Amino acid sequence: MILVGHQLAAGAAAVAVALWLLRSRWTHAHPRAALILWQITVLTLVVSTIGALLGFGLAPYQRGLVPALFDLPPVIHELDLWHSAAVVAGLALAGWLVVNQLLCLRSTARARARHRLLLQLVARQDTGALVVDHPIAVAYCLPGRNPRIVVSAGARRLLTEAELDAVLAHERAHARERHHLVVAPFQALRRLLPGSALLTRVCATIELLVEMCADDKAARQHGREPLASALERFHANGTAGTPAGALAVADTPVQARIRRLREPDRFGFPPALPLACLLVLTALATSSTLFAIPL
Amino acid sequence: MARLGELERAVMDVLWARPEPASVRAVHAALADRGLAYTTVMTVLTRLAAKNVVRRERAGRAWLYAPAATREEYVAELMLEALELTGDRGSALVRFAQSVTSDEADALRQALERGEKT
Repeated sequence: MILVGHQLAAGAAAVAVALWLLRSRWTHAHPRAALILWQITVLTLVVSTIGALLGFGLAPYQRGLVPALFDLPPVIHELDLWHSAAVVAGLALAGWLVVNQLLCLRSTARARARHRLLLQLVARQDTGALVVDHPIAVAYCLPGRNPRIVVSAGARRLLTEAELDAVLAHERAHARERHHLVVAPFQALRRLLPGSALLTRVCATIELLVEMCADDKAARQHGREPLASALERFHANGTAGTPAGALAVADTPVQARIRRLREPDRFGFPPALPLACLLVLTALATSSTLFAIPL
Repeated sequence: MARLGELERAVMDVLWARPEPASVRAVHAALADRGLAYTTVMTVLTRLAAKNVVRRERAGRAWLYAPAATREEYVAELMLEALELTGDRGSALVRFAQSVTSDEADALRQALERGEKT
């Protein structure tokens, strides 16, 4: 049972770090560090949850989880109801997570293929981007082996040349740094539990951090101001027609991005960051080691 | 590959320009200045039909091809996806920022629905 305790402690550490990340403001100043910490934390949470279920179920064998699982079939009748239920739950959870990730990958790939085909048929190539003739302002990156940067005619009309360059640099940063691969696992998790407010919030946080990474890259090439004013134009243009009350949201993601570009936070890494990294890495190491040992 | 994509586009432009479904021969004739083989045009049309952007129907011994939707409907479909207005498909793209009023979004949806009814 002490091994299950380790798994639970690892999971608790991951939850604590995740809650800290959700509440912290320094993440906007260091989006890349925050993203990496998020990835390790969520991985730890998943591994330790499965580990705890399997650990409880296989506790009578006093062995690592994987070796015990391999030896399980001939002796499965020795487990009582609770232990076998925990094993089944652990395996089902692991399988469900993997299958869900694969299904999401497939549906995303299909949507992208369709989108790429339609772009090929109706968009025209212009300097540095594909242009779709439509008055609504939008700019985005279609990820893939050959990523496409797309702007609408409306976006080109909305932005000055310097702003458009900054926006294109932002999209190229998404494409080059494969940001869609960072976001995909989190979005797949959210799709498992679409009703979960917490997961939705985590996803929104991850998406915002990814945008901030791309903002930083574009700002290094073209300066901060063009990007900030481009965001401002998009923001003002989009909310102009929304009914009263929709604007009441105090701090939309776009406003947070504009603010950090205009007033770059100067504070360094928070002192708690190395500690949190150490904590969650130890938790992940402990949790995953218990899958193999004791032999 | 880029050449094939460019051909698909040229063939769609021919089909969109016609009020009636067109035979392979007609499309081939319309693209005569490109010096394409007849079979090339046929292959491109078959591929487009397989991808559901072109509909085909039999007329006697030949197939007639027509676009499955107008250019405006395809643009509307792209924009709806780009604006994350289509259910949970939004994860296919990474967007910079979007700016759309609710009126514009409604207009896009209507453009697509009109296409699906006809």
